Amino acid sequence: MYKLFPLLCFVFLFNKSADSQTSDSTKVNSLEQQFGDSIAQINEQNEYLKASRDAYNEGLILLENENYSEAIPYFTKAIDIDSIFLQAYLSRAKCYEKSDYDLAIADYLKTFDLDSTNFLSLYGIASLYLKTDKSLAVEMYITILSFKGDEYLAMSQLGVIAFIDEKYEDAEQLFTQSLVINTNAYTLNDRGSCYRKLDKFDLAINDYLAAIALNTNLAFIYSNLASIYAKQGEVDKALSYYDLAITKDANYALAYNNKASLLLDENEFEKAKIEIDRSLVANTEYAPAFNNKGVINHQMKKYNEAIAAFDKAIQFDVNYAKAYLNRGISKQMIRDEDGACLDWKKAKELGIMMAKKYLVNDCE
Amino acid sequence: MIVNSSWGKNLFLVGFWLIASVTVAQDIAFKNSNFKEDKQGLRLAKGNITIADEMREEGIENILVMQEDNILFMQAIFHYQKAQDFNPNNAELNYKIGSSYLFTNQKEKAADYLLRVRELTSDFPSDFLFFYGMSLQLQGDYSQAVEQFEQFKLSAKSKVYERYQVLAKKYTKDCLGASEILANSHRIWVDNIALNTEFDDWSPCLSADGELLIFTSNQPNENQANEFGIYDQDIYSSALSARKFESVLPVSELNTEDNDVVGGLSYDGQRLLIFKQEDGNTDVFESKLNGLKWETPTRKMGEKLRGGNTDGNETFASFDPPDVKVYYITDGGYSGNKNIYFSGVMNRERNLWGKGQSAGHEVNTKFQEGSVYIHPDGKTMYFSSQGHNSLGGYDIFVSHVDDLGHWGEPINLGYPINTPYDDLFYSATASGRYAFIASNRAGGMGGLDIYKLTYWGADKPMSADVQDQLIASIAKPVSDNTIAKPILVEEKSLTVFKGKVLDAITKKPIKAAIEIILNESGKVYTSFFSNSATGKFLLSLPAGNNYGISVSADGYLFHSENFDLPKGDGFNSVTKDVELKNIKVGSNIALRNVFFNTGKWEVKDDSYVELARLVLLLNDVPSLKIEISGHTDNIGAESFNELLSQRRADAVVNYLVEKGVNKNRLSAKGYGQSNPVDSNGTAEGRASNRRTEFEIIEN
Repeated sequence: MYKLFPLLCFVFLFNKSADSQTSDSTKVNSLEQQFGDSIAQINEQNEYLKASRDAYNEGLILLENENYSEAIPYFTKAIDIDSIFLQAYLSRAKCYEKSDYDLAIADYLKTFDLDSTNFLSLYGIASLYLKTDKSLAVEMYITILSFKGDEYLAMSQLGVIAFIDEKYEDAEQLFTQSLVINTNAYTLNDRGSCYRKLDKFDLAINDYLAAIALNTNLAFIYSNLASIYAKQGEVDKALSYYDLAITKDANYALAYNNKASLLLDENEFEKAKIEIDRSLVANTEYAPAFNNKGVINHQMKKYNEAIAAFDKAIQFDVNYAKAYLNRGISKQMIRDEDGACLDWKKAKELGIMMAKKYLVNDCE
Repeated sequence: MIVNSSWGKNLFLVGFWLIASVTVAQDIAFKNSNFKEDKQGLRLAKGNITIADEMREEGIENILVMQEDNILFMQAIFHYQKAQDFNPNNAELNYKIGSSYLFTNQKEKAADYLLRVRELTSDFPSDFLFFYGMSLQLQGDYSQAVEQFEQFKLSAKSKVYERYQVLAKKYTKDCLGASEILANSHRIWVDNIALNTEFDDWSPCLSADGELLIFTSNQPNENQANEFGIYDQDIYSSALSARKFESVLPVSELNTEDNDVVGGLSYDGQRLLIFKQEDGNTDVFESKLNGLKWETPTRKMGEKLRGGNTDGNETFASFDPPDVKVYYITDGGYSGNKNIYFSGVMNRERNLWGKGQSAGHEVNTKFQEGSVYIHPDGKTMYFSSQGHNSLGGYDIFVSHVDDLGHWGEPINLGYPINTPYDDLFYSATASGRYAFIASNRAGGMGGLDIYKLTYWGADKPMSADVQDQLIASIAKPVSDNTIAKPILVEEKSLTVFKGKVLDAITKKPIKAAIEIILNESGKVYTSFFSNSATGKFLLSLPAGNNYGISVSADGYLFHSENFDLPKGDGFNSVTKDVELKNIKVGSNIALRNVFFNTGKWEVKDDSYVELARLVLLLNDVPSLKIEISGHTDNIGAESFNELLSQRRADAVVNYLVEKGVNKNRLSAKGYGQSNPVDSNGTAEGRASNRRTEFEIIEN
């Protein structure tokens, strides 16, 4: 739109200057003809642009409603009309992310071609590479940083990749560099998690608290902080921060589950049960909550109920090794030795070495 | 209603008497006046009582001198019951029956009779309190039992009851200590097993792998029951199927018309210790499994009256893992009551054994010790005793041996293994997870029953899951991967190695000689044969040694295995078939017990036993020519590995030449890492690849 503005100005001004001249109004000269033609052309172009924009807007509505595959033809139409419609490329790329990474990447690259100051496209590509090839994602973030050295988002994303690769010290450094440029709750949370992994719990707590101070609405940060306190044995603090997490997000299944686990450790089985049930209301397919429900029932010597809960955990996560291990233990208590041995065999196949010990001692 | 005064009074008195006579039972004496209509029945009843009285008195006499004789009491009850059928309302008869049951395997029946006595009379003999206390103890009513024993002590002043006081004192002590034993809860299941009958099923003997159970029973068999309807004891076996012992077969080649009782089974299930009576006393005998049949038993521990055998009774016995000693129960020792003794072999071929030695004052008591079992770990003894701190009757105890061979203070295994009833015998798997005992506790099928103990082992803690969203931009939560570790309880430190010896080509079972060597000292730990019919073998190797296993049979190359089990190593089970190769050209054997230091080629001292076997083979088969080959894993430079393996092969050849083998029969080649037999990707695979072999190149 902004590229048409000078033209329109010219048209207006030309119109104005034309008005000021004395002319034979009955005669159309060549300039006037030219001008007339260009106006017609502009009008025709406006029609096309309008069609492009209309298509784009239609696609946007579908995109916002998560109807990605239906949105794509609209963005395509918009692009077909206006081949330099940057936003359309960006939006179509977002849709393609759900079905075809290659096409998504092509659109993102086109976007960057159109505007090399717009890093959204590169971030988009990087986030796709993160799912397929982390090394390419790293390259992309480095590319961003080569264009703009203070792109704190790229720095923190590199930190995220280092974290996923369990290079926590590298991740901590990257998050720190990012925070120097832009202090925000998310990066503080992430750095706090690095410290947690490095067992630097005091530093972790500081970062989580700082993150909360910047943004008091992020439930996961309260929960992360609570988990640290739980690790340190500060039960009351942990419980209060889990509660805070829940006030920020009443459907935060993780927080309910974690709180239940803490209560379980304190042998508060009835209270733990209440929290687990809340977790499962928030997320009816949350396998860890079913596992913990089984653990609670087992501790209360309700072995059949425990087994039923472990069944559910496995139903929602067929490779849930811990649930197999636990279910075997409960089955042994109801004298289902064959069932226990089968479960431990599966747990061993899924990588739990403790199960091998149980198999050797109790099954063979 | 107004009652005429005199009639009313009489009616009232009659009515009162009738009611009283119904609510307060009458003690009916065996008198003519009470049985005018059946004098014949009365005479028979009194006759039976007289016969039974003699048996009972003899039985009581035995009890008071710390002997036992449940058969005598059962015979007494047999006669008493006939009188009881005639007149169940005699207090004295009920007292005699009840007190007799206390010394049988049907102790739980005593309570009803003794209670009946209290219903019938308040005029008890002094020793009634003693027997009633025993009955209360059986029911777990320890405080009441103590009261009865105390009252008995106060009231029974006659010299006749002096010997009772020793027992009363013991039983009182047991009752007072019961709460301490019961306070220790035990993580164990106790199950009455499917093969039990209403008769006595007892003395369970289990192979170390838990797959074979041999036991004794007096259930009906081919022989004639005695006049009391009781059959002789016979030996039975049962094989594990679907985790259960259900089908039972008599071991007919060992069973006779007399009592045949099994005492102990070797860990591999190939040898059985039984005891038999000959010329007035019992000795321990051993039978070997030859294929599928048990051979005629031969006297163990020396000839009659020699070695471990006395003029007393040697009965229940147990092997020990190196098969050097036999532990057994005997009343032929110094004390005269049944104690635990052991005898050590001096010359196996000539069956010469040492004189029996007491297992020590820590385990033996002035009361009866009933059974003994040495666990495959060689360090743990389980035995039953009426002494020590008991819940009542025989209890099962555990004792551990120290490095000097002394058995330590026994520990009561506690409830539910032990009860106030008789709990005897103990035979376990090598892992210690399962064991079998015998008990005449209430609630069984009848008499003595065999119970299976399943130890829960270390607490298996549950693993809960905590998840956090550690990275803000990643919605997928991260789990805490901690698996809760069990708090370990004492584990058996041994490895069970079992399998079959087979012909490598035909896969048929072979009876092979299996020798276990302690590599460090070169001494033979033990030796035995695999089963000729099945090829089966089983070794229990306690931790703390480096073992060399050699398996050999005529016409075959010997097979070699190595088990290095450091002290503190937990329980392991290895199942592997050993395939023996014929002595023909091309056969090759890995010498698993030939050792070198890392990077060196000098043969270590603990290799000599294995090499001596090779020398023996070469001497036995003079036509053999062999190639000694050295092999390495893939760690290090290939050229170095080749050189090292060559030098090692040369070293072995030089050793054989030094031992007199003609060098023309030997060649040495180093193959380096070029001939792996396993993956070099794992530690176990690399260990397998590091080896010395020999191959027959001419015969």
